Amino acid sequence: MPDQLRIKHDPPDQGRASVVPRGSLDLASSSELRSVLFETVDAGAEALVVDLRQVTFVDSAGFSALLAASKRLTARQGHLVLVTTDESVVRMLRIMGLTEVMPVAATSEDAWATLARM
Amino acid sequence: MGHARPHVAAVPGLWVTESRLPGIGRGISESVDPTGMDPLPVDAPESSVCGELDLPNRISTVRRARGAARLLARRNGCGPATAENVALAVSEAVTNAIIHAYAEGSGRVHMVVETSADELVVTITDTGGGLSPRTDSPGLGLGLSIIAELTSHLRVETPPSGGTSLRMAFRRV
Repeated sequence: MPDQLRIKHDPPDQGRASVVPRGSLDLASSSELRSVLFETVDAGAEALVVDLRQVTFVDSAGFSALLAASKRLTARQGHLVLVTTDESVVRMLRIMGLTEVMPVAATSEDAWATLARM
Repeated sequence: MGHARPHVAAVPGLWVTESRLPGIGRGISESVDPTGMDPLPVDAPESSVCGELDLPNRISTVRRARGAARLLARRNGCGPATAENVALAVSEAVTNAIIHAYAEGSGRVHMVVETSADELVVTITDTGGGLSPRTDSPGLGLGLSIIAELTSHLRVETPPSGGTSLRMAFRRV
């Protein structure tokens, strides 16, 4: 099923980690993403890039996993940046008041550059 | 008459009636079929149901309802961007129903999709306990704010008999 969530992730390397979900992020899949993000943070990630460019759909239940991970990172002085070029994702962040909490970059290179300035 | 015919949709549990005239409901100027088919009757209803779905209170229902709503939006004159707005709003509405209305136990989620002159109207109804807040909610509690942003009109009804009905209208063009 193409909509099924798949998550590519590696253990953090020197505090840096990226997580790449693919498929849809909603009530059915948010807990799976949350688990992977928490696992990554707990393994020592301080700078986390979540690349949403292969996500086909995301709603507020999907964003709840990202927000939970962001809060967990912030508690450890860490930061999270999203990679997306999807206007609807940016619009949802604005509606939910999360643009400050979760900065957005157009490429992973830009995301790492943003994290380096934080 | 016969301006609509039954159509078996690809989505299980969904029935759809497709207009013989692609422009049905879009206004008087488009109510005559250029291919020579029967014109719309002068007493054509202001809105017509184009799809209905009744699903169990399960997490997988969110995706099924969303997919059906997106399909119906595309089949009834909505562009890709509007169809995505419809899908997102339905996802939020059905998630609300599952999280808040049916914290436990069984229940059904009912979706009706209608077209009017220039809008697609989706109504999500549950028979649960209303939009009561939950301290253990897996969502952000922002579903209604998002729906309000995506729709041209939004009406929330909580009939005395129980349950909640969300009527969401989207401009098709």
